[in-house]
Amino acid sequence: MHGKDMTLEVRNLGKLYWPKNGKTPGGGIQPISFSLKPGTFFTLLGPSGCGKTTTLRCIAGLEQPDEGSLRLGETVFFDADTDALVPLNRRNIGMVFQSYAIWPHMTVFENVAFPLRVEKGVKRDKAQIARMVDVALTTVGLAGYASRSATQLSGGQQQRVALARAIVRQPGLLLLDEPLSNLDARLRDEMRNELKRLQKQIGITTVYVTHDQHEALEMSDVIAVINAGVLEQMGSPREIYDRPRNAFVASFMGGTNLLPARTEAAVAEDARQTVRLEAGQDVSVVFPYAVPAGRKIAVSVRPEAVQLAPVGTPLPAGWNELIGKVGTSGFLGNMMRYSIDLPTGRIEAHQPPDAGFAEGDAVSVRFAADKALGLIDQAA
Amino acid sequence: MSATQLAAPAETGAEARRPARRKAANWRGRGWRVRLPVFAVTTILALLVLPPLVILVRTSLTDYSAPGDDLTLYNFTSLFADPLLYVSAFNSVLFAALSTLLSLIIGAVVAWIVERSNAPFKRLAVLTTVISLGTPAILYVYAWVFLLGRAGPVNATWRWLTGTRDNLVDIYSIPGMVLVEGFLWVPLVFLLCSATFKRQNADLEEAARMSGANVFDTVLRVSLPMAKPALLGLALFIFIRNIEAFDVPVLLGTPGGIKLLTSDVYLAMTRVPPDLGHSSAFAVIMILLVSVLLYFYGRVSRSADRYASVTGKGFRPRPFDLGRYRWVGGAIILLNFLLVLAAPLSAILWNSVTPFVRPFSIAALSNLSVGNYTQVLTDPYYLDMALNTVIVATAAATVAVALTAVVAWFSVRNFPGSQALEHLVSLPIVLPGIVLGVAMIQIALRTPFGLYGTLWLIVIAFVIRYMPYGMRYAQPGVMQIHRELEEAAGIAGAGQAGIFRRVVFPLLSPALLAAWLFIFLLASKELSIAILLAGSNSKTIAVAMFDQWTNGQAGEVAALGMIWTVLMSCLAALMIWLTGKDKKSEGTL
Ligand SMILES: Nc1ncnc2c1ncn2[C@@H]1O[C@H](COP(=O)(O)OP(=O)(O)O)[C@@H](O)[C@H]1O
Ligand SMILES: [Mg+2]
Repeated sequence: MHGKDMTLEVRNLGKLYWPKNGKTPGGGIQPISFSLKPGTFFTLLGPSGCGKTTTLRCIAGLEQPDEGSLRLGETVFFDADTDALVPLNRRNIGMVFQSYAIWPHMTVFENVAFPLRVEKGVKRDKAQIARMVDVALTTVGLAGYASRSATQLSGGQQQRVALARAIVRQPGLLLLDEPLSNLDARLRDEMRNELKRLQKQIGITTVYVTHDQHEALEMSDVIAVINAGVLEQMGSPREIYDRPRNAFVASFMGGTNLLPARTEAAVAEDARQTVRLEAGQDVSVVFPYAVPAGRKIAVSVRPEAVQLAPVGTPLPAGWNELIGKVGTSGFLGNMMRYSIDLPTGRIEAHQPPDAGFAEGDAVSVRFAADKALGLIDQAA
Repeated sequence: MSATQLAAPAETGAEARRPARRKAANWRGRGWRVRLPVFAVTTILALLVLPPLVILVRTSLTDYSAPGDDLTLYNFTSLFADPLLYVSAFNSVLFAALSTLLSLIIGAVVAWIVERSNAPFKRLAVLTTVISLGTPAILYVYAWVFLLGRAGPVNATWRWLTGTRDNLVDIYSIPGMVLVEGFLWVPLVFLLCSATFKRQNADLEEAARMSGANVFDTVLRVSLPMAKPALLGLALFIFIRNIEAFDVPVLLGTPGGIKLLTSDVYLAMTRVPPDLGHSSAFAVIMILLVSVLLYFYGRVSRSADRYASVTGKGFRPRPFDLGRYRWVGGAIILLNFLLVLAAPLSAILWNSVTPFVRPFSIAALSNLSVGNYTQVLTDPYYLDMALNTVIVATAAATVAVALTAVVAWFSVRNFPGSQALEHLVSLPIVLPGIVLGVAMIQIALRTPFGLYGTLWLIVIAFVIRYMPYGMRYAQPGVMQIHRELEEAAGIAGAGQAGIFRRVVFPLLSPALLAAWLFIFLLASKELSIAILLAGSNSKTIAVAMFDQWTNGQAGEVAALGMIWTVLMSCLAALMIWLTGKDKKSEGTL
């Protein structure tokens, strides 16, 4: 099954551990579909408990989906309708677990050689195994560690062993479940680049699970944002950051101010429209997607897009202005962080470090209309 | 593609659309490929465990004096009509309760001193335990008979001191039996209590000390209440074992005319002709009694888990400083060593080097001989017995451990169809040794091929009896293996058999080795089953000692016992060392 078109095709794949009820969302993942071209770095992103691991385990074959189908290239891994099922040990998938799952009774070499030794129907001689293990260990930067006991390695090294074991037999798909979450911050940054480099070098289709939006933005070709078992948006990192589909995606992709409002008339995609905030002011915002009339929306303004000025300062054309009072301020070194009390709620603003507003001052809060996004707010 | 369209929440449809059949599916596989091995193991367990129970119930309902195979309650009515039953039951309970109390007090106090104080001689307590675990119970009984008997040193000294002709102790009485049985269980109580005290978090005690309590207040108000559920569970466990006790009731009770439940079953079986119906009815009553006790034991030990106060890594209990009383602690350890080990062992040693039974005396020192040892070491009879014992114990330990390893793996990992396994494997706990022996005789008599009187019959009985013990090691062992280690092997391409062989078994092997040694030790000194099942060519060491003792060959019994004890103590030391290394399986004995 090598060489040919190795597209991963996921159709309406769903698995529910328990159904949704009034208060709690369902446990598991609602039907989800995507199709990954060979070599894609695909990320499942979402808060903890949203169903990322469930999705990944369904692809791996560790869980059996309730419905849908799953295909890698020509091979149908799973299809609920035809009852087709390839057991996990015949799927030729590489996976790195959150705990790394390094076998403590084996050396580094034995850990990495394991997939080569147990593969059904393929007999490899000692020299061939040694060569393949050596290639894998060199790829992950662990050449020379082969005879070490796996338990003597540091966290970062164990992570590399797990990776080497996952890629040693050149699988059709690589699955990574929060592989960096057990590392300290510095190592995590280093491994992030390393992983991305490696993935490009091998050119393997990769499904990556994380709850960290920075990781997702930096590494992925395609991101799927999941919330409570439901796919909220799928697209390139830039698309997801710049044109979030709804208020949840906007707030999950880095802090943002959400000002509640409601549409009066239906709004077309990419339209610029004036809406009335629940607090009463009118603001001009851009709608990246069409919204029907009478929908509850949130106006999303990132703190770095907000400017503060003394009241009465002239307003540039096409900008919105709200009047508030400085609540708290904090010096963060590279910037000042202000929290401004508005008549209803508060808004956060990041200003240059030399900004000098005192707590209690009345200020003009202003932002450009094309930096204010009108987004559907499902939470309400 | 349009994401919103795909993400349309399926609030109403999801539940209805989900095929229920797939709900329990498991990555281990589906269909007969996984079900067959589970089914095979279930069948083996059922074939081992169920027949003894069925046959006991059946024979207890058969009246052998009347023709026909109608089921009757005759055995039970005659049993309940006989006042002897109530006497035996009362004696059994009294004997078990007092012995439990004695061993618990000594064992717990010594364990606390060793684990939680800075008293000297701690290693002596461990040594005492190791050697005692390796010594067959019958040897202890024998030693105490010598020490506390009519002509023994204790009574002789007493007569000499007081000038009377009365004895201080009568070993063939309930108090005498309690003394011996109590000492017999001290090592195990010590081992299990040590595990409990080791787990106690010293922070809680230090908090009490900081609040102004002295050592004794702290122990009384904090340590003891914390250990109470665990100690209560232990007490129930030892009580059950004492109800089932065989050696002391038969060797001391019967000569003294004191009847207990176990010795009644034994007597009914060894009568000519054996009274199967009567002893089966007795056995069924014992099973019921033990089951009730086990039910309470289960409840108590579950609540004991809640009190375990281990708090993760780096946890190290700090010992109390006993100050001036340090030496009192040391003295208690020393006393324990003298009573539980030194006194009985030196009695056996003395007997093994004197040509005929005689009290300790200076005069006798002049004609010590190693004749008994040369006799034991050169007589092919003893060599055969030793060989039998090694074969039986090795086979039983190997089969029981192999079975429970697989059973534990299936049931902990929830293999499809594995629900019954855990219950089946722990069912034999309700069978006291002598009861299992009675059942196995009847099974052997009904098998067409000549199972009766062979070693294999004993092996099968031991496997049944010790499977629950194996499970106590294997189950926590499997639980300790992170499930992702197995999942990773599956993803890497291994099938279930490969996962077990290459990942589970190697990781489980320290626990399995400890289990193997523990079962080997128990099986090689077990008397109650072996004595009922042994044919003339299938005797084990314990049975041989019993026989030789009743024949008056005390010297040879002693020499044999010394040799055997030395060998077994080495195994016991290995086992304790292994369980100590494997922190989580501590106290799972
Ligand atoms: N084996 C299981 N049985 C029941 N519920 C589960 C199981 N695995 C996960 N869940 C539930 O499904 C939801 C999604 O879990 P998971 O996919 O692990 O989330 P995450 O996005 O953090 O990886 C959670 O609410 C979790 O409690
Ligand atoms: Mg997860």
